[in-house]
This record gives sequence, C-alpha cells and structure tokens, in this order.
Amino acid sequence: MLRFWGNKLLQYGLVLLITLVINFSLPRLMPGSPLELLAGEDVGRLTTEERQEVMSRHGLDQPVHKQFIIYLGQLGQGDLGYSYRQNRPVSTIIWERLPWTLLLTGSALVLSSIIGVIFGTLAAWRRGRFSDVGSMSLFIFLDSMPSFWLGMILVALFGARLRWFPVFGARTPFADYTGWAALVDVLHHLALPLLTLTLVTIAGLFLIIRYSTLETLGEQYITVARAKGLPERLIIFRHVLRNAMLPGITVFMLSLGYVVSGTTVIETVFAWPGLGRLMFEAVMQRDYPVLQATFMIVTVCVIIANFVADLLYPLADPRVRAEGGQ
Amino acid sequence: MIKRLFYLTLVLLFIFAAACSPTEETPSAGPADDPEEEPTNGVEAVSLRMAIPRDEGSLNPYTYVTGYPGHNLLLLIYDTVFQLDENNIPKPWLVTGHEVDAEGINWNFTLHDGITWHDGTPLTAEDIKFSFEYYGAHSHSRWTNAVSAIEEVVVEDDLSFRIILSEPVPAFLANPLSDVPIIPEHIWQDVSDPDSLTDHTGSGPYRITEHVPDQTYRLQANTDYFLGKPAVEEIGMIIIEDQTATFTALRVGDIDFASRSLQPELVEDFAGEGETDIITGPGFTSSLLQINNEREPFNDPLVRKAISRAIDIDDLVDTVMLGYGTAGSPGYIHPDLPHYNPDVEHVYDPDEAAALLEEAGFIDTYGDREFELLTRSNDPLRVRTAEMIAENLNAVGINVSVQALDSATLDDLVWPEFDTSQGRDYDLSIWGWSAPVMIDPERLGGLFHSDLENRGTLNIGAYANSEVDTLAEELSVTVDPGRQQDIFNQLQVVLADTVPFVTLYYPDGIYAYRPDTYASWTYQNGQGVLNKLSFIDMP
Repeated sequence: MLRFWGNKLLQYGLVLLITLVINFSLPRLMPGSPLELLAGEDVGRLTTEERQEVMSRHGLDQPVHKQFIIYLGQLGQGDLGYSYRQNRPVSTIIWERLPWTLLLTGSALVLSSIIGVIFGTLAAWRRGRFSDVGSMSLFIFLDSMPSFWLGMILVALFGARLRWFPVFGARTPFADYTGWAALVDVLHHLALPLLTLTLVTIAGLFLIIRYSTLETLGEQYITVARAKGLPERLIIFRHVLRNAMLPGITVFMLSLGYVVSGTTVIETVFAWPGLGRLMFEAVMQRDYPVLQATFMIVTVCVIIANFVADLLYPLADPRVRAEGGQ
Repeated sequence: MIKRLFYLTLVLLFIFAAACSPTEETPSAGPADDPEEEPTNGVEAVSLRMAIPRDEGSLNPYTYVTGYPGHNLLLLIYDTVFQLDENNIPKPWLVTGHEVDAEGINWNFTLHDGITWHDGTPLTAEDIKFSFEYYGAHSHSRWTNAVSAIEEVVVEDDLSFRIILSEPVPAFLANPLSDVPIIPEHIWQDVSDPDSLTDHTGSGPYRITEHVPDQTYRLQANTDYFLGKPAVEEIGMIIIEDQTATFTALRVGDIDFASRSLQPELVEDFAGEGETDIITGPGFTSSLLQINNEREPFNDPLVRKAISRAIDIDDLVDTVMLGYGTAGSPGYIHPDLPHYNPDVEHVYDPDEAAALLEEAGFIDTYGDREFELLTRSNDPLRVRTAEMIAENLNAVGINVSVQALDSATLDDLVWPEFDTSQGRDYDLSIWGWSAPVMIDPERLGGLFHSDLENRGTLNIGAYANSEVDTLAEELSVTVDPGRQQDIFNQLQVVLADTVPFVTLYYPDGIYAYRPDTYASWTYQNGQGVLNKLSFIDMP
C-alpha cells in the first residue's frame, strides 16, 4: 500500500517537473519578444545599449538554461516573479483573479453537473420517447453552439435590449457596495455568464450519465429489482444511479481540475475578470512570468484533481477497493 | 416528467433573473448630483465614465503603457510646456510665450504665475530643468530621444528659464515641448528606478485619486488648476478589454465614452440615435502595405511601383472603411498636414502595373512564385484589406496569398526585436504607424533612412535611397520653415516614385459618446478627442 502511494507521488512529481520544463520553454520558443511590454510604446527608437539594458534588467540576456535554474530557485521560495505587463507580483494578480474564476466556473460546473445527472438519468429511463430525444437534441445543440455566440446573444437580449442584467464585469464600477448589496451586485453580474457556461457544458455529463444508466438498466440485478416489484423511482435512484454515477465522477473530477483555468471565451465576452482571460493576454503579449505561473497552477490543480479522484474512486466503487486490497 | 423539469428550470431561471434585477435603486457613480448646487466655472458634467482597453500602470511618465490612449491620459495628469492646439500648432501652455535666437539654439521662457503640483507645492523653473535632465539620465523610449538635443537648461529665477540646444531641432515646440510631461522634482529627485514608481503627482487638470489595477481609475478635477476648473468634475475610467463589450456598455449607458475608435460598420447604430452620438475626424494613424525592399523581386523599384499601381485604394476606403478614412498619399504624409505635397497622387492603373512588371522581367522569373502577404489576425479590417490587395495583385500577375498571424508573431517576422538592423523575414505585410510617426519630422527620417542602426530605426522594409537619406538628414537640422517645406515636398516626390511601401489609407477617428452626460469634446485634428482641450479651454 505504502509503495503504491509512493509510486503515485513519484509519478505526479515527474509529471510536475516535465510540465515545469514545458511551461518554461514553450513561451520562449514562440516567435515574438516581450521587449515591447518591457520598454514601452516607442520601442523602435531604443539604442542597442538601451535594448540590452532592458533585457538584462529582467534576466532575459542570460542563456535559457540559466534562466530556468533561476526560475526554479525563485519558485522554490514561492516567488512567482513580476508581470512584465502590469509590473506587479504575479502572485498578487493571480490572487485577485482566482476567486472570480472559481465563482464562475465552479458554480457552472456544479449546476451543469446537477442538471446533467438528473436529465441524463431521466432520459435513459425514458429512452426513445420524446423527452429523451428532445432533451438529448437540446443539450447536443447547446453543446455544439459556440459559447461566445451564445454569450453574445444573451448579452444582446437580456443585457442590451431588456436591460435585466449588466453587460460587463463582475461588479458595478465605482458603486462601492458593501454587505448584501455587494453580494446581490455580484450575483446580478454572474447570472448571464453562469447561464452561458452552464448551458454549453451540460452535454458532457448528460451524455455519459445517460449512456451508463442505459447500461446499468440492462443489468440483471435491475431485472431482479423489477421482479421484486420495487417502485420504479426507487430502482432508478437507489439501484441504477449509484452505479451509473461512477464514470460521471471521473469526468467531474477531471473538469474540477480545469476549473481554475477558467474559460477564456466567456470571460472575454462578459469582460469577467478571471484567470482564463489573464492567460490569454499573457500569451498574446508574451508576458513570460504570468504565463509560467498560470500554466503551472492549472497543471498542479489538474494533478491534484486526478490524485483526489484516485483517492475517492475506491470509496465510491467497492470493486476497485477490493482489487486494491489484493 | 422531463418536460416539466425543463419548464421548471426555465421558471427558476426567470425568478432568479427577476430577483437579481435592481428595482429600488440605480447605482450612481459620481458624487451626489445635488440640484441645488450652482454650476461653477463652466463645469458641465459632474461625472463621466470612460472605457479604456487596458491597464496603464500607475500612469506616470515611466509606467503608462500605450501610445494611445496611455499618452493622452498621461497628459490629463501631467502638463507640458507647450500644448498642440486643435490643428496641431504648438501653443504656450505652462509658459507665457517664448523667445528664440536666429540660430534656433537659445530658447527663453517664463512660466505662468501660481501653478502648483497636485500636492500644493509650487511648480517652478527648477522642475522644468529637473524633468529634462531626468529624462536624459533615465532611459525611456519616448522621452529620452526627445530631449537628447537639449544641452542645458538654465534657471534664471523661479519662473524664467532658458533652454540651450546642442543643435537646432526643427519642431522643438512640438516635440519635446508639447510631448514631454513635466515631473515634480521634490518627488522624483531620489527615484533611481522610475519603472516601479507608483506616484502620479502631476500638475495637470486631473489627479488620480484611486487605481484598482486591471479594473478602474478614478480621476478628480484639479480645482486649483491655473487655467480654471476642468469641465468635468470626475472621470471614472473602466478597463474593458473586449471591443464588443465596450460598445454594448456604451449603448446601455454603463459608460459615457469609449477611448477606442468605433468600427465603421457600427456607426449607424450609434450616430444621431438620441442617447448616443459620434464625433468623427481625420486620423493620422496609417495603414500601409509594407514591402520588404531587401528581398527579390521587391528590391526592384519597378516592381514596387507596379504593386502601387495595381492597388485600388479608393475601393479600399469605400469597401473596408465604408468611407471613414482618407485615401493614402504616395508621399506618406496625410493631406491635412501642412507639410503635405498635393502634387503627388496615387495612381491606380492595372495596365501600367502589368507593363511595369513586364519591363522588370517579373513575369518570366516570378510568374509562378507565390508570395505571402502577412496581416494581424485580430484586426478584421486589416484582414479584409489584405484580401482585397491580394485580389488586386493577382489580377496583374503577382501571386499573393494572405496569411493572418497573431501580432507578436507578425512583429517578429517584420520587425524582429524591434530593431531594423536585425534583418526581416517577409515578402509583404499590412502594417500601420501611430499618429506621432506621422506628425514628428524626426520620426519621418526614421522611416526612410538607410542607416538602419542609427537613423532608420523605423525603416522596417530596409528601403535605401541616397537622395532620401540626404533630404532626411537635412530636414533634421533645418529650422527655416520655407526650406523645411521644400525638403518635405522633394521628399514626397521621391517617395512616390520609388515606393518604399504603399500608403493605403488613414482611418478616421470615430468616437462614440453619450451627449447627455458630456458633449463638449474637442477634436484634435488627426488625434481624436481624448486630450486636454476637451476639458480645458485653450488660454
């Protein structure tokens, strides 16, 4: 058992190291340079000496392997560096953005999972009938819709035309709300992006739950349960769903890992101050420290989510527990 | 069952929606709009909310980020010695006027009495001297170059000073004097690393009272401003990166003005509708077809001339810009500028283009080769421009395919390391320069001079022409206006004939705003409405 976990940890450690190397080298392999960010608008008028001075101030004149060792050293001390673009510590920027991303993607994940599980089970139960075909078509339709397009339609309709919801951001600027008013303000801003993100992500879990429920429904113990004369609702929710949930848990945990990476497209459409947008801008402008830090955090979260899924799975599925014990 | 659940979800969503709508109050952004309050000193608006596309750091001369709107906003916080008027003529601002000797070397100025910094400290001639010396000693891409010809600043007394130049600077009153902000000595004297300074104490009509990084700035009117109280009491700046989100916010009234120019196809939605309106004018930014003059066959002036003849720029202005632009002059200079030469004109003549290609032997050698035309993928207008140019060029026998790239990758191919002496790797590219590269004669030399290391810092096509080199060098030291104009005229004739690049058009500035909140914008020719004159009258 101990060796099993030791091996797991070693595996994850190795994955982490590899991703650190990739995170560090990828931005530097991309064409383009952060010089414009570092030197300002009139970058073309710099003399050669000024150019070198700017690069050396940020350690970019060093050979890449030296830069990497310096980066690892800083990382070891918990220092994520300074953003070229904002001239502020990367950790501060991420801390500002993280809660907003967690709020949006986290609540969308919970909502779409609940809806996906309920509707997936029901659709399987009513297989082939209108409600099954109808809900499946609806969710697949939503899934195939570009999220930015759906978001823009919702903004145009509920934001710009009906004016029920704000059209950008996570809070009303300069309103200085406190307490309940602040909470209501945030929820009010959250509504449209949350709706968009939920709608476009329901399909994933819906399809998996529907499929595994169908499989479970064909199992012999269900036939037995039916033969015993158990009420249909009991069969579905006690006997079928508990087993059909298993693949759902894997998918949920995997999505959980990606929650921190946010959703660039929806954050862009709604001007939501999340991490996805931050990453996108960092890529476009070659802001190396922000790129490295955000990619690393996403990697770590995915690894942790995998790890937790490994831990949880035996609890949910006794069969895995039994095999693990052998 | 499933249907019922679906409807239930819908109903729940609507309840949620209803619960979240603000019913009892609409948030008011500014200080209370008390009807009792008397308007004073021409105050026209209490509060204006403006969208800007990105964070501009602590918005002091070393931390602002963009040329536009960063530099414009900077000059709401800081003052310059002179100020460009609506027609870009430098007028005295902090000073009462100027005297200059015949050689253009010794310049005498006297400051207005009673100018103070935002913290109440008087602004004196010592601050002027300090500022120019500071910019010389602490490198900054825009200021350091601009002050390089200043040999010495002599302080005569608190208000009077003399600037001594090492050589005459043709547009000295425009740049540096109308461009370089004056900083307070008592705050900056011990600052050795200005890039991380968060202070933004200036002397301008507005001071920053709050900055939430990446979200908002709050600017308060400087009520003690030496030219009177600015027309808007408070400016709230909101950072909205996305273009669509910006203009939706303007439409619903969450903001009153957007710093970015409106896309031509949206003009109808915003113009004259009542709640919103637009103000338009010429723009001095340029859209060019950049040509790699170093690479065969484009090193042949005949081929470049053929390219220019093949392009229907009027069609570009009509189709891509929907008329909101001025057709490019082959001499690069915008027709609204005083040094424009009206004798040079773009000629669209595909037949002549074909004949020129024939003469250059292009078809025999390169008829089957495909050339790449690069453009930025995030700018739909430029992508469309590139497509139309490709059609134009294909029609005369130059095979061109359009390649859309992200800006950083494009920059890396066209202008690696932002250093023209580092070479280049492209055939053709859509490119553009900002307004200062149009107005400032010194930067003009940078566009065309063949000494890439020292002078031709913006010559990204490696254009080389000895006649142009001589003219550019002469221009950079000529102070006599008549002689200046002669050089400008000659320069434009040579450029039109040798085609370093094709000037396609100059996009108009189209600014959307809500007239109910504030309408007294001043359109500075070629540069838009985001300037001091929109809030303070020229003295």
